[in-house]
Amino acid sequence: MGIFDTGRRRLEALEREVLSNPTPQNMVNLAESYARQGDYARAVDVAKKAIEKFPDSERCALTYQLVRKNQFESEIRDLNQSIRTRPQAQHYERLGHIYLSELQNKNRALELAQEGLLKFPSSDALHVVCARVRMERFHSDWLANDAAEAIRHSNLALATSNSNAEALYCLGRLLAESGCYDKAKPVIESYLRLVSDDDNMRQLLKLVDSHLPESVGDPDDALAEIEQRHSLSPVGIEMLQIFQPMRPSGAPSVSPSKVENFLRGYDAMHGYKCSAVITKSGELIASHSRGLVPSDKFVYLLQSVYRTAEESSKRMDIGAFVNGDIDCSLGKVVVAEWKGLVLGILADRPAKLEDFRHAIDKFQSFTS
Amino acid sequence: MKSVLQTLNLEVGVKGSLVVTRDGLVVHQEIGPPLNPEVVGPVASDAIKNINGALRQSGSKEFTKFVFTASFGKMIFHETGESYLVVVLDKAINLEMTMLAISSAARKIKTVSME
Repeated sequence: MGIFDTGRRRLEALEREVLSNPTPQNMVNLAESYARQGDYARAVDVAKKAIEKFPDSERCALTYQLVRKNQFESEIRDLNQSIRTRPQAQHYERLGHIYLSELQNKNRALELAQEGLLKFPSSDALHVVCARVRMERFHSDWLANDAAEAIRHSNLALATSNSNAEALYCLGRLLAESGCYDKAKPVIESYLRLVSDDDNMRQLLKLVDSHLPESVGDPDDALAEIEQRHSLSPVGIEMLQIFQPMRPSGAPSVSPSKVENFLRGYDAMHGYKCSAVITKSGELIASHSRGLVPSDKFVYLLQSVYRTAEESSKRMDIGAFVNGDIDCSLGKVVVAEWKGLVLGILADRPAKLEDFRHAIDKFQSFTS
Repeated sequence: MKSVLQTLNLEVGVKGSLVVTRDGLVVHQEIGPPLNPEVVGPVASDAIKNINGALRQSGSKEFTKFVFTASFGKMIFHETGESYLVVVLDKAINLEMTMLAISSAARKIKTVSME
């Protein structure tokens, strides 16, 4: 029995495991196994199914990017070489498209487009890349700046090419979702003259028409409200749902006493000292302490850390805060945002990183 | 210090780095596009002051390391004696590998600062 037989048997076992009980970990393992064997078609197929099944899994997203990148490796290499030696707009445009549409690496696509626009500021294709990425970010984190940037880039693309359908698409959707129905209407109509078979945009136009009298004057104010609410207005949600299923936004409704009971369970964690759960606006839901650190002091610390990190993320333009940790003389403080709730745990040695991860997983299961 | 930051910036996933004192003064920065040095410095400075202020109020000493991940990026603050090494990174990187490089850079900066 050769090593190939062993490898084949392992692969078959992994395939059976994924079929019977798919998890982010085993799907990633299977995709990586196919890629190692050079079977990129199967690797991409599994990786794509993994991100469809587990859209929040960073590991699945990374694996998809990696296996797809292998497929585009030589083209990416050639384009990077051209950009280094004799950059032209189309090199940036093609590379931006590969990262955005083929590899779904939005960050890299945005960086490339921004770099390209420094040299080729009138490239409507690069402005469209920026607009699309910003719009997706807006639909993920509800930050006003992302929507404003998407609108700005769409307008800049249209200044170069007023029949750029993608720019009209982004602009029309964002104006509609922010309540600027009167501004959205002519944009969507222009888009539909170019792309007459887009049923979703036709549906959007109907909704816009039915709400015209409610148009808001200033998109900036509307976007600021969306950011504060962490969600679109009810009409905005209806509009967004034409294009994608909406994940529930805002904190789940939780009973403070149940959360407190849950936090007591952390007593069993190595080195545990205290924990708390707050909302994204800083309101306390529940806290628990073993007594070594007063609850109120820890809650204050958690509120400050979350507020600072969230503000830093926004100012740095890297989206919304997800998680973080601080090493200090009290021990390690781990903070994680999940579905509108912010969990903080303070523990000292012998608590290890896995203990914190496990504690966060338990919290995510508890609130899901 | 400049060469330490420039070398660090070559690591996979590192977008820029700077050194900030505990009271928020930017000592040196190697920040280029797509990052804006006029934004990164003040953000790092404010974060250090706010977090350490909150820690002191909670009965703790100042932090030695602070890492946070946002939807589209990461920031790491690593103590280097009288200052902090602040590194801006892509979100999707192998943090364990990059932390080795960051810790090494922090040690070098600490040594340089003590000379």
